Amino acid sequence: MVLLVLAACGGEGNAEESTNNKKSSAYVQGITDTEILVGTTGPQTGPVAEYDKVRKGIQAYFNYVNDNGGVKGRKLKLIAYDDQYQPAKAVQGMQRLIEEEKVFGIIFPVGTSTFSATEELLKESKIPVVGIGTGATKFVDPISPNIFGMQFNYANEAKLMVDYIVNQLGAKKIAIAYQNDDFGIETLEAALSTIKKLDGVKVEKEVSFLSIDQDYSAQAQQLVQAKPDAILMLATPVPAAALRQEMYKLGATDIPFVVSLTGGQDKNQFNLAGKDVWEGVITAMPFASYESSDHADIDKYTEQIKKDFTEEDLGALTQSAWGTAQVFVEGLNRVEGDLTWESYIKALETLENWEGSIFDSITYTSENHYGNTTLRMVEAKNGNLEPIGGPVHYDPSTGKVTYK
Amino acid sequence: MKKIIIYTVILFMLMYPLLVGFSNYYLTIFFMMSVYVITALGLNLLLGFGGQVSVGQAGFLMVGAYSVAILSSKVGLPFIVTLPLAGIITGIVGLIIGLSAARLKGHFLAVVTLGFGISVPQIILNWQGLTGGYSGMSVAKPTFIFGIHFYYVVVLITLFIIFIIYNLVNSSLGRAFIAIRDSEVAAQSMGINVPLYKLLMFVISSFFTGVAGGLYAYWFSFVSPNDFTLATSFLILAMVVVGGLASIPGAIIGAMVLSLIPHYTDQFVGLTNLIIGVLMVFIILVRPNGLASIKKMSFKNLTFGKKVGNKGVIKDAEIG
Repeated sequence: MVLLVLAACGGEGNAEESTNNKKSSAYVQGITDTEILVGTTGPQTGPVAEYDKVRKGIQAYFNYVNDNGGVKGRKLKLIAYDDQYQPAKAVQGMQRLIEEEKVFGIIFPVGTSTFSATEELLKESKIPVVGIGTGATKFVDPISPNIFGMQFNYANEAKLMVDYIVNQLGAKKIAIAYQNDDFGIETLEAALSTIKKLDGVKVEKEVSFLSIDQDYSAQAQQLVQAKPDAILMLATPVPAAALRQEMYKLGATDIPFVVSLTGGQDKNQFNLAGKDVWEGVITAMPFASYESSDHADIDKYTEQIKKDFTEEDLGALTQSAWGTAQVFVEGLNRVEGDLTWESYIKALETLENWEGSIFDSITYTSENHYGNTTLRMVEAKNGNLEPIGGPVHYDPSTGKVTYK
Repeated sequence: MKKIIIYTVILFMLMYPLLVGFSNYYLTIFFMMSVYVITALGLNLLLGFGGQVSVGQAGFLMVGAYSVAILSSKVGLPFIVTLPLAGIITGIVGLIIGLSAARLKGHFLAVVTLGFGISVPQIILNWQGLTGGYSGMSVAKPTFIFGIHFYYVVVLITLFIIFIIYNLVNSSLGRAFIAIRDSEVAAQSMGINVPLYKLLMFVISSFFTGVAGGLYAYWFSFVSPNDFTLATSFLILAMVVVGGLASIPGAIIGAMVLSLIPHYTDQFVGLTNLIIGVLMVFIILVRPNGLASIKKMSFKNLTFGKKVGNKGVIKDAEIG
């Protein structure tokens, strides 16, 4: 009771303070002469605490920017709340960030179900949300004016991969293994619709599984019997590894095995499946990995992460968080005149094939909030994910895939 | 004196939205507290009064929440029907779990309820057609009690449930529960139908927990398999232990304290769990009867300081 009163009073105090701030300085919420407040929610503890790396990646880039003078003289301050991947906690965290901490913007909120729960709240508040941590189509299509994607869209990815299988690997008969959930079905439908439009290409076999299945031998048998030219696997990491193991047992690793980025981009797959088993798998990454990247700024990323955190934090999660933070800051830099939510959103929508971040290119327009639409195809070789060719670009408005 | 406290608390609850300037965040804090108060009371009925261990209360919350989600969104039933139905459905699930409770004791019962708590999210995850699986499902908000009105509905329901449970434990039913906790043999010899009363405990406890879960679904208008995990079950257990076993104010205080801690610690990674853990150990070592017993002593010392003496201590001991 006493605590509650304290909490309540604290809240009131904050509210008054910030309204005072607002009156005296005429800035929008979260902005002062010296500071820009930015918020995020994601798991920091619990079973998927791995995703705390997202917070670390953002923090590292903010530190980097602050050490170099900040954004037009203002320092960036990140407030991160732990949601333990629970939607209710995510909602509470968002309410607190927007109403109590009064942050200027939200960056990289992690998770599909947690984002579903907060989506209405975020839309109503009109606060800019940059780089949502989910590739589900429903959040970016149809577009919400204040919500910007970043994770490679699941459906677009499936379309791109079909194009790669057909045009680069020369496959005519494709077998698809998909995860029977929202993610798997969304990607399956996208893949099927693309294949339908291609002459002479057909789906030889579709097999499904659940993310918690233990046995994949039946699916592997069916896939081998269908004798496809290539297998497209739309899955999360664990099933991707398990199915590959069954294929390995059947001696069918010579059939090209293409795994969606969600299931393949982490090098941990070598541990999950076995080093020899995972060898030869083709997958993709949303950017060139920090080890193989020729990007001019990649050293800044590795140095800063090592400085602020540990070497173990290097990897896809911190890398994409770093990239997202770069985009967030670029938007701030592009604002002309007063920094408001409207002017910031307008500035973000001027990004056109912007190559200044860790991602290959970022585009936001008033019709397209996908963000990143360029992938790097990679092949598992000797415990590494080695790049195959250059960036592969997908154009969401035309559906055209270009290989650079 | 007791009445004055109760009226002050009720007045505070009514004024609370004004005090926090109708901030959704602070209303949500209060709401989650209410959910946990109801749930902790439900567990206290089982554990504190009835001596039946359950570490699967999160499972009951989940059943309640999904009952409301499915009944309101897929069947289209109104609030007034879905909420009691959520309680009844959860009560039936409680009955099934209670069937095993009638045969099992102690660690074995704990394992059964543990299994239940773990399996519910898995079932929801895989029953795609009904539950929407991994990505959760949204709940249609009842229009007439939207926003601030819903806060008062929650206050009313919470107070009502506290009132019912208070009367329940002071009735013959409650005394039978306590008799079973203290000695099943003695209870049986006094003519108490032990298996039946054990079943009843589970049904009543899960009914209220189901209602709390239902409220949760309405408040957030979204449910997902991640909502109530094993960690939630242990948190609820911690609330009852920290607050005080077999004490109604204890369960309420425990639920309030543990649901407020994150508000102060959330900005620091991992601190919340650390503090809850330390608090648990501290309470068990220093005041095994929970926070409620501290309050009781100081309160008595304050008002009847001279008279209490040993009596108060003996009374405390009797509770545990």
